[in-house]
Amino acid sequence: MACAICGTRFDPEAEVACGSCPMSGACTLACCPECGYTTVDINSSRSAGLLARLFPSRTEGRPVGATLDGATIGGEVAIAGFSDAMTTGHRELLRAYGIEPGRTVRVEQHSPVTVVGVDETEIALEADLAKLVFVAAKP
Amino acid sequence: MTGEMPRQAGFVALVGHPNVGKSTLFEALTGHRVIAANYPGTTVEIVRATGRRLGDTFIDSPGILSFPSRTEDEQATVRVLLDEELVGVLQVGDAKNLRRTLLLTVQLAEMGVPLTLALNMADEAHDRGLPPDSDGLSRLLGLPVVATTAVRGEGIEPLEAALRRPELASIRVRYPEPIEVAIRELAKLLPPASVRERSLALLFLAGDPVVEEWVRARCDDRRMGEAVRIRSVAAEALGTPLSSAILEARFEVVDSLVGHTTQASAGSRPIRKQRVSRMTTHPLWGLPLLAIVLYGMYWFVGVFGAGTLVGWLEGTLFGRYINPWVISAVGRVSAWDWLQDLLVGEYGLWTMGMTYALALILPIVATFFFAFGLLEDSGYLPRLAVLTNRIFRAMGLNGTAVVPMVLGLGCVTMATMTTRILSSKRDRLLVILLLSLGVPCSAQLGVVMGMLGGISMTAMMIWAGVVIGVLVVVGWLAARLVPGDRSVFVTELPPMRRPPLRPVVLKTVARVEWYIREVVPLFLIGSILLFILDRVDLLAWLIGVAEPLVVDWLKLPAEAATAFMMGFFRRDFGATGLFLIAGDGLLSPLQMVVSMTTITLFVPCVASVLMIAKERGAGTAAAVTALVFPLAIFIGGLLGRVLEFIGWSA
Ligand SMILES: Nc1nc2c(ncn2[C@@H]2O[C@H](COP(=O)(O)OP(=O)(O)OP(=O)(O)O)[C@@H](O)[C@H]2O)c(=O)[nH]1
Repeated sequence: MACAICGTRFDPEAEVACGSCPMSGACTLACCPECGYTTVDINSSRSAGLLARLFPSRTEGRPVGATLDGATIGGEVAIAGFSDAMTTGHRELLRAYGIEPGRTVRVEQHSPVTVVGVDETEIALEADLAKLVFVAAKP
Repeated sequence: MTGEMPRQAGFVALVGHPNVGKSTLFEALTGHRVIAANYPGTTVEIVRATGRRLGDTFIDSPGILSFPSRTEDEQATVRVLLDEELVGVLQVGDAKNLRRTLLLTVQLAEMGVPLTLALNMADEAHDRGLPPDSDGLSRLLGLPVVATTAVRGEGIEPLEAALRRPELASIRVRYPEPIEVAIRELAKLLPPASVRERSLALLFLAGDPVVEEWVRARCDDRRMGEAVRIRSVAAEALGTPLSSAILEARFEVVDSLVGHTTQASAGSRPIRKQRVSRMTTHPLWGLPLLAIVLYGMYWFVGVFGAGTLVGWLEGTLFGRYINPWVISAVGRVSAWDWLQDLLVGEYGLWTMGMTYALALILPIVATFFFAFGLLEDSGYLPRLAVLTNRIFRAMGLNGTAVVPMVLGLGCVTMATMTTRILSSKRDRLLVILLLSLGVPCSAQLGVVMGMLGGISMTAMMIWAGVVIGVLVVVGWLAARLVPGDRSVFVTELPPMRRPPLRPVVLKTVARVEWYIREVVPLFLIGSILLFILDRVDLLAWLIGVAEPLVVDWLKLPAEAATAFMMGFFRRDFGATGLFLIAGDGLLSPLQMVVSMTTITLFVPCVASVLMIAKERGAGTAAAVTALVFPLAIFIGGLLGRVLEFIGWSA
C-alpha cells in the first residue's frame, strides 16, 4: 500500500513503524515506516472494506497528471497514453474509435458522460474510463 | 481490367463498422428489407438475399469495430468470414471517417478474400467538406472503391459493376519480427480455413475468441498446446499485448494511406446540425429535450394511437359494422351452439381474439413502432443512452441498456433479441430479467392506460411508481448478486439526421408484420385453449387451484383467476380479461390497481419466454419465469395491503 502523506510504498504485513506495538496482532491499521502516518489496511479490516466498497473512492486508481476527464471543455487535447489500470480490451476499443496516442481530440462535455470528437464522429465515454486516458496540450 | 470474364456467382458478405449503412446498402442491392436503424447494432441476425441485378447471394453481417471481436454480434461476423465460402467481401465504410474504415480494410485485405470497398454516407462527407477520393484510394489499395449514398440509392450501379470484379488488395502490413516469426510457425500448424493462413494466425495471436474456439475444435490438444506456446513466446519477446502491437503496425500503414489521399488535405468544416446534436446530450438542455421527445411519443402513441385510432377501429369499425355482421353470419351458417361460441362467444376466436388483435393492439403497436423508427433513424437513441447512463449505473448496467428497454415498450420479445448488442453476458442477463419483469409492452400499456386512466391520475402514478420501483430494486439487487463486473460505458454517437420517411415507414410495416405473425396465432391458440378448458371443466378446476392466491392473497374476486390464467399466455391478454371484469363492475379502484400491477409484473408472453430460451438457454428461461411469477404475485398482495392500510380509494 502507499502512504497517503509521503507516498512511500510499503507492505502492511512486514515493514511498518508500529510493528512492536502490543496490539499489532489484530490491528487493521498500519503506520508508514517513513513518516509514521496511520492508514487503514482495507484488505484486513472487514468494516472498512465494506464501507470502501459501498462508497468507492472517486480518485482511487486515478493516475497523477492530466487526464481526459479533466480536460477543458471546448478545447483540443492530444492523447498522451493510457494508464496501466485500463484493460487491454478497453484500450483497443478506444484506439479502434480513434482515441489513440498522438492524435488530437475535441473535448465537448463531461457531464453526464465525457464526449469527445474524433475525426468526424463523437465518442461518449464514462469518467471511469476517461480518467485512465492521459492527455497533453495540443502540439 | 474491364475486359475480364465476370466471376461466378456466389456468396458476398457485407462487412463494416456498426452503423455505416450496411443494412441500407444491402436493401439497395437485394431489395430485401432488413430492419436498419441509426444506432450501432441493429443487425443482430445474419440475413441473406439474392441480388436484384447480380446473381450473388448477399450476406448482411452485424457491424464489427475491429478484430479481435468483442461482442456477440461481432463474433457472428467473424463466423461468417471463417465458415462461409465467400466469393467476395463488400466492405461498407464511412466516407467521412477514412482512418477507421481503412483500419478494417487492412484487416480484410489480410484475409485474402476478393474485396470491394464502398465509401458510404458520401453525402455527409461532402457536407463536411471532405469529398471521398475513391479513385485515389482505389489506386493505393489496388481495389475497386466506390462512393455511395445508400439512403438515396446513389452509387449503387457503379457499385454493382465494381462487385463483378473484386480484387485481392495489394497492401501488406509488416509486423514486428516476433509476430512475423509466430505467424510463420502458426501457418504450419493451424488447420486450413477460408481465410488466409496469415490472417488466421494474426486473429489467433490477437486472441479472437471465435478463432480460438474454431482452432480448438479442429486441433488435438498437442497442436493446440503448441499454438498457445508460440503465442506466449511472441508475447514475451515483445513485452506488450500482442493485439496492441498488431494494431500499432496496422495503424502505421493506415496513416500512410490516409496521408496519400486528397481527403487528408481537405479541412473538415463544422455544420449547423452538430449544434442541435450537441444540445441533446447537454447536461442542462438534454433533459428538457428529452421531456419533449417523451411527450411527443406519449401524444402520438398514447393519445392518437391508443385513443383516437383504437376508439374508431374498435367502437365504430368493429363494434358497429364488422362484428354484428360476423355474428349474424355465423348464426346463419352454423346450427351448432358450440361452434358459435367458439367463433363469436365470450372467448370467441373472432369476437375476442381477432377483434382484440386487430382493433386494439394493431394501432398501438403500429404507432409505437413508427415513433420508435423515427427515434432510431434520427440518431437520438445513443444520446438517450448518454442521458440515462447514471440511472442504469445504479442498476449495475450502463446506458446502452436503454435501447432494448425502450424497444421493450413496443415488444418485449423483440427487445430480448436486441440484448445481443450488450457487450457482456452479465449485462444481457440483467436486462432480460428487467425486461421480463417490469417493462410493459405497448399492448399492455394500452390496456393499462385504458383502465387506470379511467380511475384517476394517482392510480396511474401508483402503478408506474410500483413498477419502476420494483425494476430499480430488483436491478440493484440482481446487479450485486449476478457475478461479474459492470461494463464501462463507451459508445459512438452517430450524427443526428432528419429521419427519412420512406425507410421509417417500411421499417414500421416490417415490424408490425413480424408482430402480427407472432401475436395473432398465439392469441388464437390461447382463445382455443381457454375455450376447450372451459368446455371440459378444466378451467373451473384450474381456477379453483389459483383461487386461494387470487382471493386470499390478492383480495380479488374469484373471476379474476381466469384473467390471470390468460396472463400466463400473454400478460396483456390477462389484462384485457381484467378489463372486462372491471367493466362488469366487479373490481373496486383499489383492486384494479392491484390487479394491473400484478399482471404487469408477469412474464410478458409465451413468445418472450421462448425467445429467452433461444437466446440464453432453457435454464435461464426457466429461472426467469420461476423468479418473476411469484415475485409479481407477492408484490401485488403487498401493494393491496399497503393501499388498504393508508386508506387509498381512488
Ligand atoms: N446520410 C446518410 N445516411 C445513411 C446512409 N446510409 C445509411 N444511412 C442511415 O444510417 C443509419 C444506419 O444505417 P444501417 O443500414 O442500419 O447501418 P448498419 O451498418 O446496417 O448498422 P448495424 O447493422 O447497426 O451495424 C440509418 O439511419 C440510415 O438511414 C447514407 O448514405 N447517407
